[in-house]
Amino acid sequence: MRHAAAVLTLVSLVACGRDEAPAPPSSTSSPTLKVGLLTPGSINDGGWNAIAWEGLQRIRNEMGAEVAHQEAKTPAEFDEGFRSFGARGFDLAFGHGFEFQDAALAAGKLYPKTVFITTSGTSVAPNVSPMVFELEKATYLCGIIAARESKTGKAGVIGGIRLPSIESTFTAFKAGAQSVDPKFDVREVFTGNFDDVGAAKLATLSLANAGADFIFHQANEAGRGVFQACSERKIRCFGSNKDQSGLAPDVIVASAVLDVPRAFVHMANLVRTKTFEPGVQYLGMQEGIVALVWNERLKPTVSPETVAEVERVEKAIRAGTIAVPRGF
Amino acid sequence: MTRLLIGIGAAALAIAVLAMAAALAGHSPADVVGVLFDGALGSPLAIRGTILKSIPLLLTGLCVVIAFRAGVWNIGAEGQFIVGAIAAWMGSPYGTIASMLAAAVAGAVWSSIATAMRLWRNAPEVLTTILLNFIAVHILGWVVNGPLRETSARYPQSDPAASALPQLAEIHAGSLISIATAIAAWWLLYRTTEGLRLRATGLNPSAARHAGINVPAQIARAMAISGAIAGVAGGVELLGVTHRLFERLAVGYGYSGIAVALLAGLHPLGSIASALFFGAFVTGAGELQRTSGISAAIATFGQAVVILAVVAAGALLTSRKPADA
Amino acid sequence: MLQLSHITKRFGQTLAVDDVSLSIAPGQIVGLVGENGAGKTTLMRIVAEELRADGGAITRPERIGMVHQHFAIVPEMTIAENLALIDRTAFRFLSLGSIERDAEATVQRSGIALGDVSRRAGELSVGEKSKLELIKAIAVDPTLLILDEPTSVLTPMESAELFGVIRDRTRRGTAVVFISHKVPEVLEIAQRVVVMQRGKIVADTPRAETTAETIADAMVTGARATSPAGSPARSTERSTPLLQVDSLALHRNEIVAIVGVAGNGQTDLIERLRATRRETRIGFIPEDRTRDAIVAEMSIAENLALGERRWSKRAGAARAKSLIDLYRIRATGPRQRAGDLSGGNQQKIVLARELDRRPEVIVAAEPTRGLDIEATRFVHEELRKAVAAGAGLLLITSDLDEAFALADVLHVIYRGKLSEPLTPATAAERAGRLMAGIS
Repeated sequence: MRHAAAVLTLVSLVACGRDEAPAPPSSTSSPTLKVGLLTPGSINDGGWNAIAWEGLQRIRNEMGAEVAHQEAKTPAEFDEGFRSFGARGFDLAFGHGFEFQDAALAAGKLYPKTVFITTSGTSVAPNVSPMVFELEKATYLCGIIAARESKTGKAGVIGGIRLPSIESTFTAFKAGAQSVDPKFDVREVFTGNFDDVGAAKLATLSLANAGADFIFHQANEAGRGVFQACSERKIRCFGSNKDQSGLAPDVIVASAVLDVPRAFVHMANLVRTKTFEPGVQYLGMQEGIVALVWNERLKPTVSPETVAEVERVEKAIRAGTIAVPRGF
Repeated sequence: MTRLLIGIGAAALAIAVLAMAAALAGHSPADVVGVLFDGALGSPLAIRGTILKSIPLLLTGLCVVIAFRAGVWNIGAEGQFIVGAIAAWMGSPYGTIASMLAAAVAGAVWSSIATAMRLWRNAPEVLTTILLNFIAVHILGWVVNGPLRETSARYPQSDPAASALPQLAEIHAGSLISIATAIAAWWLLYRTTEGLRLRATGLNPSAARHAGINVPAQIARAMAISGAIAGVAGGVELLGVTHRLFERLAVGYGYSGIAVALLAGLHPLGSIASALFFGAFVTGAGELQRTSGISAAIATFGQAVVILAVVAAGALLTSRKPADA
Repeated sequence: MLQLSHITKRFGQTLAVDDVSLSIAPGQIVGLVGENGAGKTTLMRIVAEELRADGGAITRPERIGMVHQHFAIVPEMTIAENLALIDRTAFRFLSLGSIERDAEATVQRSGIALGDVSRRAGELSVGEKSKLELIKAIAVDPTLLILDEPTSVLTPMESAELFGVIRDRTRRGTAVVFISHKVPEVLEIAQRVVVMQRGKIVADTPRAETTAETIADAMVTGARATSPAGSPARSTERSTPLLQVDSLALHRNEIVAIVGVAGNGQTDLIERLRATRRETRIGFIPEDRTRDAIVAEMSIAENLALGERRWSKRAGAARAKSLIDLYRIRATGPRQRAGDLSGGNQQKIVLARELDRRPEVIVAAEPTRGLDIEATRFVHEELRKAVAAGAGLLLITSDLDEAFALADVLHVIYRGKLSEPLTPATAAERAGRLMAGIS
């Protein structure tokens, strides 16, 4: 029995790459685009690494690109993976995390014809750039909704670990709320991790006790605790990163949605059309990667004026007439 | 001699099991093994990758060899590796040698905490060293999110260390350090009274005590040496490869060291071959994933196969030995 | 019933059992004697299916019980739990009451007295432990019972009890193999005596046709059989004692024996003696060789070097070579694994290591336990030589004969208490009773 299980495990490992259909032929006559991806963990994690893998699959399916992936856990492997992609003449190589920056810079020097993109980061070279997602643009809108709809004049934000990217979304949330009411009170709590559902729930309850009647979270898995507490206290909240309305349809008003796979496709398009310009690649609403998605069930409970105002600001952000502040 | 045969057999078994699984999943076994070899040894880049990955494995393997030889289950190479890396980073402004010394001392101190708990409260090292791993991981998480966070304070990683190991053909001096450590460990075990007593302590602590050996002190020294080697592993990896501290720095080098040590039959020089085998396996598995989409997790699976094969062979051999003829 | 034909067994380069054929009939008591390393234990472990023979054929009786020289009990468990362990039923619910009732029944059936079965096995005296082992072996109602040195830790009275049990079993048709070094004992109990030497059976005679002398000769054919020419002359001058604990004082050139049945506080006494002499390392020959003195996986040279302050591989090998010659250790060379040697040769390594440093004080606990005649004589000679050269020897033994053969002064130890010093002459009358706690 155990042997059978072990064999199954191994076979499934080996079989991993085989459940894809053969790549569709390239629609253009130009040589096939070659795209590589390094993830710091298993693509079966249902989270950070899985969305990058999905992005790579979309590049393959939508653009007919030849793709390759490696799970690279150590800097030695980052280096080796990037160099291997460069040596095999890849057009584009992604490193999914800020920790890939040093390896990208080193490989970028050796292989100038390959573009190296890291997911977040600051390092830039002629063929090396980070892509930075502007979830802030959507959280700014969440802040506007909270401030306009709140009866108490208070809202709370709950974070997992105090990371700059997370603090930045809170900054934008606060800015959005205070663009409506400069005295609007936004309280911040960090639980210290991304998986303690109970801690997130307790933090939410304490914010509710302090009078907050809107909660925004950036706690990943622990976010479920936020939704539980909001359901109990009948206060409203926002989903983050993806459309989370289904998790608590009675309390989630809207979600700040981030379409990471699309960011990968976007970068691949820039490289294919030779329109890639080095520099930090801020990817947000214009690129269709960040959006505010309403919970259609609760949307009617929101005042029509607020809905209209959100639409107006969103247009202004897309047009660039409203600048959303970032934490960094 | 037997140990050598067991080791070669276990390594071959790991590759055979992999090829078999490949066949079951519809890949050609010959292709898979071919890519594995090619990805590990087929080009200068591949060879460099194999060597770079073997270096920390050899050192953590030696850490395990020394402790196991003294009869102590040091499962804490991972944690000792981490504190070694942190100490090396902090020592790097004073040069590579100071940095390496700091790494060794930090590793030794970290493993000695387990010894202290054994001597004072009889806490088993198997548990304490594992728990110390968790503590080290959290300390690392804290320093890169807090005091040692990069000066731009953007990402949870440190700035690059102030010094780096010299390189030759893009292979850092850690290669020499690790091989020198292997030879030194062999010399210590087989050519000094310290090693003689250490081995006697591991094989029969009671006889060692009656022959006048101070067994607790012997164990304490072995653990300190073992921890120092793992600390150096962390320091070498930091100054040679990563240059920065970040949360996922160690990724199981300490645990893989156990596989390296077992495959080597707990022999320091055998560990060189054993570490190269695992380094090659991991590197080849990376290539396999890049070209065939086969998950690199097979490298971990290969390690498991090797450990099971070596342990099973060892158990089989001891069960056939006479107790008292 | 038991039929062995052409059995062969090899350990590495050593031929432990060499083409042995033997058959044993129901109800027969066979005494199996021979030097250490002659292959007695190995042969019987093959019979008990603990080892597999390299060659030959065996017809085994249905149930075999074997009692080992080394205890195989779980000290943390009670007597009852230890007895419950022999139950081979695949699955059964147990309660404390049921296993204790079963245990009492098992003890009763065995005909051996063993008090309260709820006592922890680790707290039993050595004699009681060996009784427990015997009960375990008898509990399966064996058709063949193998006893390996069963009397080595028993008092004379307990040995007599054991013999009663053996005779009782044979009346029910059980065959018994009795492995021993003690020729008089074998002559007392066995109906047939089989002598092994270097893996072969060299004599197989009915009890009636043999004597202690013929057996001894068969065991050590070719070996010189002269006893040492008495104790070397010793200085009678009484200097300050090297060692003094309670009424016990040990001087230079003196042998003090502490006799007693094992488990009467000898271990504590040894620890106390060691504690009084921390600054200089005493020469110490522990009672349990394999546990406390020899590192089986290491070479002879390495075992000889344990505890040395300075050591280099080359000098160590040279020294080992000369010690192997000097102490007549039968080995292929300094690099042979100590664990592959016979008990007697292992003991010679311990002697060589401990005596070669010329220690002032030697503590030897049961130095000849389990050794054959030749090795015993050798150990005694070496100890005498060391004492003649100026050392003081404290001999801890349960063998009265050994104490009388060596000691200048005797103490009896019983329940942790030392008797007054006795001269060999007074001890001859009183020691046996003191050992049994009768004063």
